Amino acid sequence: MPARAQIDFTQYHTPTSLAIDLSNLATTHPALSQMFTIGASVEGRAIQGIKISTNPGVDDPAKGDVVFVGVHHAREWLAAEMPLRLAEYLLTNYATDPGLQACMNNLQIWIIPVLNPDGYAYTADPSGYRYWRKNRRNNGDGTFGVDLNRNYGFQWGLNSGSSPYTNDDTYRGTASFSEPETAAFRDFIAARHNPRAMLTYHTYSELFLRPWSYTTSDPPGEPTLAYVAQDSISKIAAVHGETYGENIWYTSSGEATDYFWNQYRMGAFTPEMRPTSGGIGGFSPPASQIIPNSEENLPAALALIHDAGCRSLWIKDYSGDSGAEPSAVWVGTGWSHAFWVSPDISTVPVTLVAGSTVTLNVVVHNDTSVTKSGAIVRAYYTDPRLSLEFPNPVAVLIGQQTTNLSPGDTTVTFSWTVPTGTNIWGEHHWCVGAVVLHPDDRPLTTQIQLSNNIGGRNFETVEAQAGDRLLMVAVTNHLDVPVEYEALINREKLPRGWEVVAPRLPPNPRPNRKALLLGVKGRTSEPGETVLQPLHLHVPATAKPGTKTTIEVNGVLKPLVPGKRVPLGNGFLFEIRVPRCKPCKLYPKID
Amino acid sequence: MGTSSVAFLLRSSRQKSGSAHARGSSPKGLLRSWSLILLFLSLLLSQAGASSAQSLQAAQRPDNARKSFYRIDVEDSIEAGLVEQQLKLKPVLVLSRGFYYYGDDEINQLLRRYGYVPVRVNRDDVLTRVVMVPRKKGTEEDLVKAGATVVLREREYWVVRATLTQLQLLDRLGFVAEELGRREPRPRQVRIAVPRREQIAEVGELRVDIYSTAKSEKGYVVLGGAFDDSIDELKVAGFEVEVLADPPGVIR
Repeated sequence: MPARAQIDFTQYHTPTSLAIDLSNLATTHPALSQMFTIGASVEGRAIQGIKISTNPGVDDPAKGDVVFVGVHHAREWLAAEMPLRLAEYLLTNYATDPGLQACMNNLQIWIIPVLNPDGYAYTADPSGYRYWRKNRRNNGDGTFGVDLNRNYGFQWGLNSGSSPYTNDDTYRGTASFSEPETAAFRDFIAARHNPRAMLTYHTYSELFLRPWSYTTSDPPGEPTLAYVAQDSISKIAAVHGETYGENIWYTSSGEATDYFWNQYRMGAFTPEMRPTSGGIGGFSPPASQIIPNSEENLPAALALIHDAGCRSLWIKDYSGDSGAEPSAVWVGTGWSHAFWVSPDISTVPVTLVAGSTVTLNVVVHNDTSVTKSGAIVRAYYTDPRLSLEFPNPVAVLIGQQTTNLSPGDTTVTFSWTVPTGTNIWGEHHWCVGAVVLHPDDRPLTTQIQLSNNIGGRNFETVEAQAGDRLLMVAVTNHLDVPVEYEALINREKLPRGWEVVAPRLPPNPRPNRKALLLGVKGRTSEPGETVLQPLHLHVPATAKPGTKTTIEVNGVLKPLVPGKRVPLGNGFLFEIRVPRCKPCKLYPKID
Repeated sequence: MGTSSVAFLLRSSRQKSGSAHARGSSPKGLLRSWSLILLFLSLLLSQAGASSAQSLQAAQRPDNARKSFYRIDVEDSIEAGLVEQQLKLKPVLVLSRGFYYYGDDEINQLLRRYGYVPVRVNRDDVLTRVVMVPRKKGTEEDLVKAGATVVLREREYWVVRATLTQLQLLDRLGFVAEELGRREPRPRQVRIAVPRREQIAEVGELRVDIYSTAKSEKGYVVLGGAFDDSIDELKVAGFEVEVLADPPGVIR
């Protein structure tokens, strides 16, 4: 049974009482929490938060980071109460809830109840204005305030739901991140080792929103985002029957979740909490709404924590995968065999031939000490040009098995007939993924659902006789921003005398000014652009027929954006075989 | 056009009764006029001290006084952010594809190395102010003809947004612009009927701060906050706009 609230939520906090209660929480739970400050507001107020972790004094790079933030908009007082209540819940229930422990032990949870302390203070000041929305920037032209949730640096400056005029309540500021509050929050997230999820509380309308905000188009990773949003909505509804919607029907640019999803692919969501209607008065619901609002939003917050941190059951993946979809798709061109570098989803045989039936092995890892019985493992394949997440509407179910997962690794096998057709781009390129569902494994939610993917193209190995040969890799930029790219080759498995070189591509004929500003010397790729990367392979004359080896090519893509440039990318594997035949019929050579 | 011209055009409401005729030809009047100029100058400078270099008030900063106002074209806000980060050049304003800044030969030379073409622009044609104009003389049509935008239409005054050049023109037309001071402009509460759901986004693009949307018998109802310029544009676009009562705390 959850511990009772110690903080008084029957009345709205004042800025002062909120700061005191937050500080008291940290004082009362020193082993689990610590106050922190991300910076100062435009009027110099500290933007404070509470960090919740099993080792709060250490910034642990091994743990995931989940961030909850409230009050971008000053008048939305419920958005300060909810994160405070969440902090209290986590701290008072940790000791007695093993499920909570299992998740929280893997995470650092950062809760910032008020990002806009100046605006918040202004709404609480009798000589201020209760319905103020923006921060309290003196715009210097007779007006005050910038809408912080229109000031972030992704798609900033569009007129969709943001205004260039200083007097407007949706004024976006003189430039992106012009405000110290948003700049501090940006820098705070950039400093995290492993940002996994972010939830920014707002009111009102009873909606649970996900990127994109600036457009009505779906973002990359939409199935995952949709899953979390819909899961949250169902959890909210289960408490008091409030049915949150998914769509706001209008766009807003320069918004927080868009920036963080684009920059880090961290799950970013905006709950627009109670009430559903009420005009301007909807921003000041009676204090009696604080508790039911928090009660129904808590399960959604806990589900996010679970999704981000409770990895008691998962499908392993190649190192460095954050669980998000690949940011770029590397596909072989011409004659190459290709396979995602994934030790945990694999086929026997490795080389796939269209129409052949292969065994698909999925390694599922259970890191608890008890057997998880009745786990459902589903394997799918999908067109990666449409989606890289599982399940998704176009994914085809390969098979489903109910199994018992003992502690450690369990390999679940399926029989799969490799498709004979092509994907929408005419490629023999598919992604295979698996989803694990286990009803008991999710103490805070109800089921677990994680995914992975692999892909292949053309299904042929490269045959190479002694001499030089050219291999080609196509790199497509699936991000919304241009990138700098670099090919890295793993030569560990190359036999003695073999060589492979990826020549550095010349800079773009048309210099990209963003690349110039960043001092990028090599090749850049615009959104949607495909770059061909040649690989020069040298097979020595001494190579014996039948010799097999693999060349692992990793693409590092660094977005041309200000701030922390998080490298993204993916891997690709060539299997090289020296043919036994003499003379061999080889694939055409590209010069 | 320097700081003094800005001060010359704007009068604080507390002193407006004197200032309306203070620009007479008598030595006493001239002295009073100059005193007012100095007073406004000091007010503006003190205001500038409270804001960052990025604010429009940077126009009055001493360190920028020796620099000229320039514009370069950037592709988007990401490029603007890179200019700021990599070249340590803070924009005064990023508007559309324009990156406006205070610069000198050294800064411009640096920018040219990256392919930019700095263009010197008149700050007074770009930067705007939001001021109060008492309805003592002239008509709204005159304000609009001068290029000003009427943000709020109140019984005794207008709140207008105008560039410094436009304010000079208004001054010549006899309008007396006053600082808003503590009377911050508040939006009106509006209910907007839209027949189709897609039109809700159009309402947002016309700068309505949307609070909520709901289905209605005739389509959808949007509740939000908007200034009169936005309401005017909504009406021109064919939307049905109903202005609702102000919430508590709004004084017009």
